[in-house]
Amino acid sequence: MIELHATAMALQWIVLAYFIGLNGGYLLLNLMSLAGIRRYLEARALDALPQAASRYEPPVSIIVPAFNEQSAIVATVRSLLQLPYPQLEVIVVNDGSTDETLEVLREAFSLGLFPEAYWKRLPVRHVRAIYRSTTFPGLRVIEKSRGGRADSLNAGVNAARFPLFCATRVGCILSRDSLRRMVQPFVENITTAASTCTLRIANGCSTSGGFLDAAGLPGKLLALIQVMEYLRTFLFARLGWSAMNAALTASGAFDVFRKQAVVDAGGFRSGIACPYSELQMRLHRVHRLAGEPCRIVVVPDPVCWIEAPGSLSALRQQRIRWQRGLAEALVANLRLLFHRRGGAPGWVSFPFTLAFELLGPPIEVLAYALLLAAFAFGLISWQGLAAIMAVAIGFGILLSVSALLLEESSFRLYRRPTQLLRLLTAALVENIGYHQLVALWRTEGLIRWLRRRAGERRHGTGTRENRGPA
Amino acid sequence: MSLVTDSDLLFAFAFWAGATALSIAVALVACILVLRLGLTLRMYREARFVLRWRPRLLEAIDQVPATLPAVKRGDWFAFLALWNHFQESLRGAARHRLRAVMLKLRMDVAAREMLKSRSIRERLMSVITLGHLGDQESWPALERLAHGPHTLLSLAAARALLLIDPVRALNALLPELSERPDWPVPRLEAMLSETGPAAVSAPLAAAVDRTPSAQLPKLIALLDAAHAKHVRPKLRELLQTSHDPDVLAACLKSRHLPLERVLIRPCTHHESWQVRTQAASAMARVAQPGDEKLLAGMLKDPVWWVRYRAAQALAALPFLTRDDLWRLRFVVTDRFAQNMLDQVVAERGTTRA
Repeated sequence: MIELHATAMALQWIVLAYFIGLNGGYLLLNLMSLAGIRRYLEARALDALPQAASRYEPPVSIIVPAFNEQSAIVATVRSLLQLPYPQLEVIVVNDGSTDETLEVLREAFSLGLFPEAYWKRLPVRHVRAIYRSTTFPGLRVIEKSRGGRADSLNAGVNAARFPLFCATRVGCILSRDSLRRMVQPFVENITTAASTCTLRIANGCSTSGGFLDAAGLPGKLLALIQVMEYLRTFLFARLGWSAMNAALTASGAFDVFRKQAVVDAGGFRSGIACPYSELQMRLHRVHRLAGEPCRIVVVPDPVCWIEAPGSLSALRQQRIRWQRGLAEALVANLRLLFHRRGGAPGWVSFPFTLAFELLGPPIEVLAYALLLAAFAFGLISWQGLAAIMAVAIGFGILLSVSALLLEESSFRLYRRPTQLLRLLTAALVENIGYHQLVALWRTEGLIRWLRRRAGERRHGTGTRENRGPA
Repeated sequence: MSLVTDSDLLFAFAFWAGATALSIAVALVACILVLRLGLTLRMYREARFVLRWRPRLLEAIDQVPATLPAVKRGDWFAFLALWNHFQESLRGAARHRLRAVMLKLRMDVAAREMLKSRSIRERLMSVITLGHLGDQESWPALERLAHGPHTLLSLAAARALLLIDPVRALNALLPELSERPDWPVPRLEAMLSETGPAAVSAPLAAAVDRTPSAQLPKLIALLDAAHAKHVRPKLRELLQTSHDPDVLAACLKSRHLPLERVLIRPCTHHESWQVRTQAASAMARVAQPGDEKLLAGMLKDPVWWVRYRAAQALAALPFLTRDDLWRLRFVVTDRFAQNMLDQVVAERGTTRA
């Protein structure tokens, strides 16, 4: 009995240390992002001046993979063609759609067959035809066999004319200066290989023509909590990594890459859930291990807004897919971990992501389960349970509030007092139930990935990309 | 007994950790509220300031007002932002009158004061103001900033120096223009263009002779801001003597490339594909009847970009008709060459129905 008590006590200490380590790490990232964002905003002091905008912004190819997007593709392409940017081309890659995607594009933009000398720098599935708009010469559509998002992106990279390309997707809401902001890191530093945006939630915002008019908050609690969650985990945590050039994950919605760097690294990897993040990690790995400078920047400005899942089932699917994608990306780039030339990505962000992002959810779920079991069997008192829960939830709330403080001291998108109040409520609610539920789904994602991997090893087969919710 | 002690310790630790976290969270909420209040007040104050001062500065564009109220310390930044906005939107005498307003308000002193601020935001605004004012007094401080490690401040200071005294500034900055990797070429080109070719041509052209080969491509790109007559002899010399592919490619890409076939034709056979690509583009500007054979030969190049530029050059030749291109399409036997010609002809909208 004494041994059981001792084990229970040790468990409580471990759980306590884990929660403090996890949240302490994120708090540190928030602090780092605070410094980074201050520098970034201070540097924008001259942005409003008429001659601040460079007259020499490099041309950009925008690549839009599309699979069965007949309802939204035309609006997306129209908004991209209207982006105020000196020189851009839009390449839609119709990835073997079985609906009317190609037909609606053909009709809306007067597409005609274009005899392109297609340069197959990256291997891709069969390209059936290339079309070009007769009304918008900067628009081309690649019609190809189904190969998944990564394959479509590679097909777009092959056709891209310009040194930078922007990988986006159908349905994103953009701010009008989005591309300019995303390209800026490439103008400022020639070693920049990628810039990734910080996603915001579009639910509740007012939009027109694919552009954001005014930021707003969603009416539903689930989406509201995700606004808070995005601030906490995706915005400021990634900014913290960016401050030390160690950001590993991409947004997957609006990211700009230097084409040559991507081609040299082998392009997007097919058959995985998050090819953008995998590529970003690979860019770090390839350049670091070769001893070449490589800068990957997280642009803090709110430039891209996406619709958050409105139902629990859609959210579950999303998080399962994200976790699988994270596992695939980390495992594919495991050589970066503690490599002598790995730098900050190899020695700090990779181990942190592995320990807290990949393995964190199952550890958290296991900790909650063991604590509850120990409590049920009388091995720990209710005070012990309450104290540990208070630490987990208290630190969670602290993280959420600190993220809100960062938002308030930087972009201040939600200016009405009621919006602030609602976000504070979300910061509270997020940590009681929602966070634990997401940890459970992420654990499920990890288990599915492990099973899949085991299956692949048994059968010696590859996997095909699944397309879940955005 | 030890279990009880451990348990007490754990509870105490957990309790204090949780309580500390929650207390900090509450304090942060208070910070958010204070920030929100401060922001509202600041925005109100700035809006009122701009509302008062915009008409005054607009009036000053035509005539400097006899009396103007002093600008308080808290409004310095807003004033400089507004003043610089006008300054960069206007030309000629209006800018001089705005400068007179600045001096009348003794805001030049304020700008110099702000140059010592710890805030990067204030220093950036001050640097750009002093540049527009042509403030010689701030030269040493601006030069220090231009040589400093902060990219944005150094670039802003370099621009200010160029606005104050272009020749002196170029003498001070020339090595760094091509050396500093954090000074992007597009920004420098914009700054040099703003200064004007009269001031920058001679110093930039002279710098070519003393710049190491590794940094020459960047300098050659900057030569676009200079007068052709200063630059062309240098480019001609480099094209004749340099063996560095990056230098050759930069020369061929230059706006002031000497349009001499004898210089460009040899580059079409260069071992570096970057040089061949630029040479193909350059041939479009200098080619004479007979050169189409050379360009048609480049359509078989193993590198896509060389084929593409060669096809573009062919399509741009003024002495080659649409029918000539069409015939060429059937003369070339290489499939890649045919595909490339098809593409470029389609791009130019010259395909046959």
